[in-house]
Amino acid sequence: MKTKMLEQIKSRYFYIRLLSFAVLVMSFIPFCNPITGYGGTQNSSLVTIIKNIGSVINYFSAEIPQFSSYSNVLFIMVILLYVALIGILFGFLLLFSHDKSYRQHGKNSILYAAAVMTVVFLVLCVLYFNINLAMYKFGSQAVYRKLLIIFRIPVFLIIYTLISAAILVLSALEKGFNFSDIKYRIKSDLSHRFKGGVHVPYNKVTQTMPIETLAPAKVMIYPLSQHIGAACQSLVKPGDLVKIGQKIADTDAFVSAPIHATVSGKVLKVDYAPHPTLNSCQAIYVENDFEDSTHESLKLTHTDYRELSNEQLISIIRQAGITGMGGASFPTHVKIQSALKDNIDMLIINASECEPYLSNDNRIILENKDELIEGINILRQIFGLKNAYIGIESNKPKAIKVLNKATHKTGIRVVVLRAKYPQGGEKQLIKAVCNRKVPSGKLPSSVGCCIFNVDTVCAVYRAVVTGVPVMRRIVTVAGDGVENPRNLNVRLGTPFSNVLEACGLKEDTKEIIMGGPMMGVSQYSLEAPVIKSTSGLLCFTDKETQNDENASCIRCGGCVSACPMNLTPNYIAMYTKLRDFDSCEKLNASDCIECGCCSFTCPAKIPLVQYMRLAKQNVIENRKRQVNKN
Amino acid sequence: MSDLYYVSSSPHIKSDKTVSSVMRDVIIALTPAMLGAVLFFSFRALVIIAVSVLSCVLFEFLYDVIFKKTRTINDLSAVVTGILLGFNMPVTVPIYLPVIGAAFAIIVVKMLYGGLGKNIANPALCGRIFLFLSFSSYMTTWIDASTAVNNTAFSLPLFSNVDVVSSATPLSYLKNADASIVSSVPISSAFIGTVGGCLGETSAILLIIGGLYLLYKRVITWHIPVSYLATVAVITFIFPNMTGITRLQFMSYNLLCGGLMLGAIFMATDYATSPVTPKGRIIYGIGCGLLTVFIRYFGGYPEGVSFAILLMNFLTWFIDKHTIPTKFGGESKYAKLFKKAKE
Repeated sequence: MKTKMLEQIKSRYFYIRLLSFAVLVMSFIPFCNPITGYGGTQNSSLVTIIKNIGSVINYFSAEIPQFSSYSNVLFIMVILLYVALIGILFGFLLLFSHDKSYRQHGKNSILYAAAVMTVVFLVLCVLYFNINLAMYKFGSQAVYRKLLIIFRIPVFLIIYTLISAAILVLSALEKGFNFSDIKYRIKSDLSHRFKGGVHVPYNKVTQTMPIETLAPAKVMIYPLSQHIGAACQSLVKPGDLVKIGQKIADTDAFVSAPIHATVSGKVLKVDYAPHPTLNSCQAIYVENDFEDSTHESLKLTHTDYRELSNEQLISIIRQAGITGMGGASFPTHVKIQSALKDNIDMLIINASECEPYLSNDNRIILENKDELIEGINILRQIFGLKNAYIGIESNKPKAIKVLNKATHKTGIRVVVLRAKYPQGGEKQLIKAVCNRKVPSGKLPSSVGCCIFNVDTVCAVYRAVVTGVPVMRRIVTVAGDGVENPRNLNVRLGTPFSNVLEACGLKEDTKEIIMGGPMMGVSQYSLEAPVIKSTSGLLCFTDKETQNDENASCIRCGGCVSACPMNLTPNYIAMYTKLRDFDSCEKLNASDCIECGCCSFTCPAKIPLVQYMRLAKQNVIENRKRQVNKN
Repeated sequence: MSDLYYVSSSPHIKSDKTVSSVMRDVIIALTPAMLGAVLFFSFRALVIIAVSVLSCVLFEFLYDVIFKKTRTINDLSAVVTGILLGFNMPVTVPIYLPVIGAAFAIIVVKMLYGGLGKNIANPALCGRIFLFLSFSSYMTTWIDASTAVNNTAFSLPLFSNVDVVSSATPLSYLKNADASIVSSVPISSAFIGTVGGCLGETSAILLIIGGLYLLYKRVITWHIPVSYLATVAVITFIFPNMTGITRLQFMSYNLLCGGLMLGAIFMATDYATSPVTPKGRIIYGIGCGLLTVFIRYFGGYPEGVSFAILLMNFLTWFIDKHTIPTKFGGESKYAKLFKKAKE
């Protein structure tokens, strides 16, 4: 019995029940008059209400004065209406909660209250037919005054804000005295922000799941183009034996990164294979012999990275084949070299992970924070900076806590940002972290910033300190079409089918996406392998795949206010339909970052991003043509 | 198996917002004012609104059927037009008037221009103006809400013409510049809605509740209502047109009476006929406010909201074209001009 009661007290809804009861009791205050013990107060200033608190007791003890039947009904209705209003306000407060179940309660509360309100309004309508009688008996003034009680909302808003603050504190207390949630939220509200963006449903189910290692597949596929820039050329021939860490493809081009074998075994063929982003591409097929023998090049040639020069560090990074792990996959050594030419004073680590579903960066922070800090130290050494900034969204309180602890007195600052898409976009992140605006058409280094993804920094650490090139990738597998969503440590080159097998692909899966749902690419084949930019694999069923018919534009302006680049997607789409690309250029179509905010927010479900892409492509082509002419 | 997958362009998730959900939110936001209209003006108000809504939906359906268009009544925009049109009529109008108004609003103003999103003027507003110019005697017969409740609420016949002693709206008192009559109407009753006027426009508080709901749901932005109301407030406060009452009183009457709240919150924010850029919306709101005050001060009609919004509707595309926001990281028009001047 006792434990049961304790449980009930501990259960999260107890306080809410308690408080809602308190609210109910308090809501009687305005009806209580010290003299009659019943009836409306003359004026509803806060002082009178405080004076009247004592009369709550009076309400129960005093004689109930005579009422005509109509005004009695009216009175009850007004009380009901009042309770319903409380319910609605209360529900709205709960809707802002972090916890899903609280939000559900909020929704229920609003629904019930709305139902009560409807009934009350219907009864009131009927009553008004007979109101003359009530007025005759009770005097019209008093009846109106009672109706006016409904409108005395301001005073109660104050009470509700106090109560809502209490609820927030209590709910925080319940979760083990954890105020960080609220703290980080407030902190993020105080940080700089970028204009536009959308609030997407985050659905980060895998956030709490530790990283598991996936065994390599029988046949591994290494596409020769895994990064932005020139494709690599194969260094091996069919029949060659390769070992783990052996460089199997490279090129002399500046913007490129080599590719390494992640298993030991025999090269089967060099042939076209499905590619996650490029449709198809030349790839090296390696048959795994499951011996995992490592290549001799994995040895370190130095003992302490602090003694190395920048050139040496950059060549190590180049040889390790590190590219930006955020999704664009731009070779890291190129980024560092071009940034060194400008005067860099802000080193920013992108840990915001604004894409829904994905949780790989979050897990990396929680599990490999030492690698991350050490990697930041290496980058700081390269740029000669004392400080660095980690930008992280407020919806990852655990990771923020871990980072705060780990970065204590190291000169690295954790900047808590608002949870808003696309917080992780390069230009948006710079605006949010240090309030600088990257001029259109220029690189972040033009304002003295350089941005690296969390996983990239870890890869730099591994390459410099342990000598291991980029061989694995943390992949979040999630979505309705997966039985066990989880975070996997996958060797590069593993086909998607193997990854999904390990997580249990459901039969009703309709769409498979590499990357996040906002900017990811849907896959036509599961033979495509995990490459350096694979951050997640999402399997969507019918429920999540939306294939709505698009209506015509209703000019709501949603896309304009959602666009983080301050463009006008609706007009650009209109001119694209008319194939008037000169007007598109005037509207700065080429500045689009294809984040997908406009398409996401459009109520008419117009595929605005596709129009934007088309416009962008044509504008850039037109420009090139004009340059050639001149 | 692989060829069975569905391949689409990003983004792969979309918001729950659809055209019909937006319209549903507008209808929900109009509900308090509708219930208020029923409370203040008896059930006849509900009948007028219902007739207006039904005929709007019917005309849109018939148009789609006759001209073999895709059915568009499911997007609920005709219902919104119907409610707004009903809101713009006094309770005493004959029951065939909303039908005529709906026919003009839906067929001429909305569908002939290509349907939702392509009309150049607000259909409900045009319907109102059409009726106002064609049936001015019906459209300007007001009865006081409190008298309606006290004496005639239950005797208002549904289907025959209504003979009542007409009273004036506080706005027409303002027009006549009679301070003593004006102050006979307390501001609080203008705020709650127990004054004479069209069905939906009398109760400022209920309209504001609806507007707050729309803001919360992000259906509208604050730009148009705030700039519209602020412009009217500032001008009427600084340049009152009347003696005998305080500036504050004059401003409050101008804000709370007539169709200003309904116009600023629900009519001027109509998607298809208002600018999409934030700056453009503010300019549009200020223009509406200026025109409203000027028509009220110098025009022949006591009410200026509908004409003001209609005139600004025609400027929407022009305003949009000249208020394209500066791109992120770009130079604004003025910065460029400044640079040129420096050179």
